Amino acid sequence: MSRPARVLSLYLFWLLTWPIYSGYAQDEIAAPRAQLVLGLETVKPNAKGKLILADGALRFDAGKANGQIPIAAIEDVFTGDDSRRAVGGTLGTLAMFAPYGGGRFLSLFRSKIDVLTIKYRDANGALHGAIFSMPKGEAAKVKARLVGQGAHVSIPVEAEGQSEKPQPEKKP
Amino acid sequence: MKRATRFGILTFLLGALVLLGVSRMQLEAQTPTKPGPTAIQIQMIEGEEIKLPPDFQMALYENLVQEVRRTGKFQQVYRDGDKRAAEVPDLVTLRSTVRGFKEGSARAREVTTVAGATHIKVHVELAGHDGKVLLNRDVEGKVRFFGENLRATYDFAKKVAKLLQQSS
Repeated sequence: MSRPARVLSLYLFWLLTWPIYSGYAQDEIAAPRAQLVLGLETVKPNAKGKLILADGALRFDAGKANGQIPIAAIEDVFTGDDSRRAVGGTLGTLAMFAPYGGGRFLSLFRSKIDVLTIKYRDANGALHGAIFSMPKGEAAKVKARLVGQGAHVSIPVEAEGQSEKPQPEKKP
Repeated sequence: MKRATRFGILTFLLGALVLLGVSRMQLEAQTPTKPGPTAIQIQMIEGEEIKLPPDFQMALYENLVQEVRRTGKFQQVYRDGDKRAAEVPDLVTLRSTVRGFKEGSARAREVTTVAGATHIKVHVELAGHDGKVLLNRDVEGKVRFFGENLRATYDFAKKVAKLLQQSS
């Protein structure tokens, strides 16, 4: 095959396959390595896969099985750090002295991994919760991406990574 | 003669006992058994004084839904907020409130296999459509030997499912 013919065939190949690639380009990988702890009815617990943002939904792709949560149906998203902040406030500290260990923070896992909890409702209004685990530091990024696409949250993403001490206000 | 009388009395008594047993069995078979509720709605786990982390709360709820479904006792298991539940006449509602927890240590469990158990104490209440309380109990979820604290949520769910299975 002559050089111009080769260039032309490559160009034609690119032209024909471009729509497919552009379709995939809309799929944004939110977390390349995630594990479903529980909560998706179509995927078995402990399945490993990746979290993908596509077509207004968060999809968990675990090879043969996959499940998805429409972003519009999401009521709240929590990372492990959100949970610690929510429990470790003043109320939590006071309750720590209560019998049966009230205020101490009870985590599902040891802190080596990050946990992302998604609270959502289906078409019938039924409450669901999906829990994913992923490498440390990933959950906050996924939450930020979900918020960016319109997911509701009770703890804003801006609070992520903020120190517990409030910043002093600058006087005008 | 004496022996014959004794034998006669014994036969009569045995016959009477057999007849009594048969008639009782027939009566039991005829008495209609009250059918149990066919649908249950599981409410989200709440914490009155305890502020439970959202992931733990969700894990308790999701495991509870799965385990109650697994019992097969109810034809329909509705989740919190499911609008379809309002149309079911014999619906029962399961409410769970976390009363406390004792955090253990997965590392201590691995090392010693006796220390470091995590306990979670939840009050469960099953109420009928009329609001009448059918079951009122404290259930404890534990993880004793190996595994993460998540197993305590599964243990709790299994115990509640068993309770529901046993209740009439």
